[in-house]
Formats: sequence, structure tokens, C-alpha cells
Amino acid sequence: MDSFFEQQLAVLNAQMLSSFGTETISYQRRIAGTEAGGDADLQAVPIDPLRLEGFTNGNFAVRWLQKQDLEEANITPAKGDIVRLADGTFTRGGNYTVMQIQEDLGGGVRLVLERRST
Amino acid sequence: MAMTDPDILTDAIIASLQSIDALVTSDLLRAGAQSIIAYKTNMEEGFVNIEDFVLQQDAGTIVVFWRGTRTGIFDKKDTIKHDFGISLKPNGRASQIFTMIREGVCAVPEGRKFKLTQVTTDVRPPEDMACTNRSVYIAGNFGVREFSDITFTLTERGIDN
Repeated sequence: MDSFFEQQLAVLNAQMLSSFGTETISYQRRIAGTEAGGDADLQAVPIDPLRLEGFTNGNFAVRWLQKQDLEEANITPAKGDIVRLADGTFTRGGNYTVMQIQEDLGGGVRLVLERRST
Repeated sequence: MAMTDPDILTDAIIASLQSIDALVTSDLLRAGAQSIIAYKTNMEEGFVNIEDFVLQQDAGTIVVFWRGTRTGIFDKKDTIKHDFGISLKPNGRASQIFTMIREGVCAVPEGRKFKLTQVTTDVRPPEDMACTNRSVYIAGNFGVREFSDITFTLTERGIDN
């Protein structure tokens, strides 16, 4: 059974997503650059990319989502997957490559993404 | 003879690269000749550094930058050697754009391949041209980032006196 801390973190994560998960991202599995599954639309929290680059509309973006949503879409995220982001104030829309995946104990997943094509 | 300002050579390298038809019409660059960009080291306020510049480099562009200048020997004579780099971030494979640059015919200044081109009359054709790929762990936020750089040297003609 999850610890009290993990349960509390899961509640916080669920609340975070319902409050700030304003963005729908399109997630696609890739294996060695080749499409390996259909796109899945997932709710995500856009996290300020200014922390990464010091300027807007750069090459990097960070998105936070729930592991549960990935599991329901039958996706095990891996480096090299593609995330399609829409144009936003801090993000230039387009295809981004998953560079890092971080998971917290409460079922939250943080994706660090890099734009590798125009 | 006086040393040539390396930033003038940077501009001359770019003018030559922009005159390679196969390169500027290639899908590897996002906007043709405009995608060949200069980075000039500048200590004024408001400027950053080459690492930041390359990290933030747009996909589908190449950045030409001056790496440093030193003295050296050419034909048993003291000479000035300028080291340059080209950071590659093509829409596709680095090997393709490296080949296009090295073997590309530059209409400016004289219609020869870049590897044989004197970008100004003051310097010899590029020497020691190499392309190196590397993956570097930048920081927790960036993770591992892949870089591809061409490096080469331009030796000034004449004796440094």
C-alpha cells in the first residue's frame, strides 16, 4: 500500500492537473525514430520554459502529466517519443522530442522536451 | 602585414556558404541563406555567450563562429592561424550537411568547392577541416544534448611582421 506521503502527493497531483492542466498534448511513441503507435491526446500542465532557456519560444519545453493517463492510453513513455505542442505564449508549436522523463511518487510525470525540427 | 579581423573572416565564410546553391536550396536548412548565422563574441551588455547561443540555436540552421586565433607555421614560415567552428543543427542528418558544406561549390568568391575556397584574398583555403559529434550532459533541466560541429583553420597568407 502506498505510504501516507505518496497518497497525499497523488491527491495533490490530481488537484494540480484539474486546476492547471489546461493543455492537450498529442503523444506519439517512436522506436528509433519510427512511429510505433497511434497518437494519444493527454491533458498536461505547461511548465514555464523560461527556467530552461532564459528566453521564450526556444528549443525546450517542459510538460507535466499524470502517469495514470499514460497507462490508460497504453503508453510507456521513452526518450525519443514525439510530443506535439500547440502554439502558446511561451512555446512555439510543433513536434518535440522527449529528452528526459521524471516520475514522482504520487504518479506525476515530468517530460523535458526538445524541438529538433522546424 | 596586418592581421585580418576574425569577424571579417566570419562574414566572408558566411558569404561563401550562402553561395552554395545545393546548401541553400536544401531542406536541411529552414530558410535557405538566412539560416546561415554568425555568432560574434561580444562583451557588451545584452549579449550572452556561444554556449547559450548554440543551445538556443534554431532547428534548421547553422552557426558560424570564431573559436580563436594563434600563431603557427605554414611552409616553414610564421603565420597567423584563425580557428573557426560551424555548429550544425540541420532538419535531418549532420553527415549530409557536412558533406554539402565541404564539397559544396561556392559561387562567392570564385566558384570552387568550400574546402578549396579562399574566402578572402588574405587567407588560404580551410585546413584541418573536421566534423565532430558529441552528446553532453548540460544540466538537470536540459539533460543530454547532442551537438555536431565542423572545425577548420584559416591561415593568413604572407609573413606575420
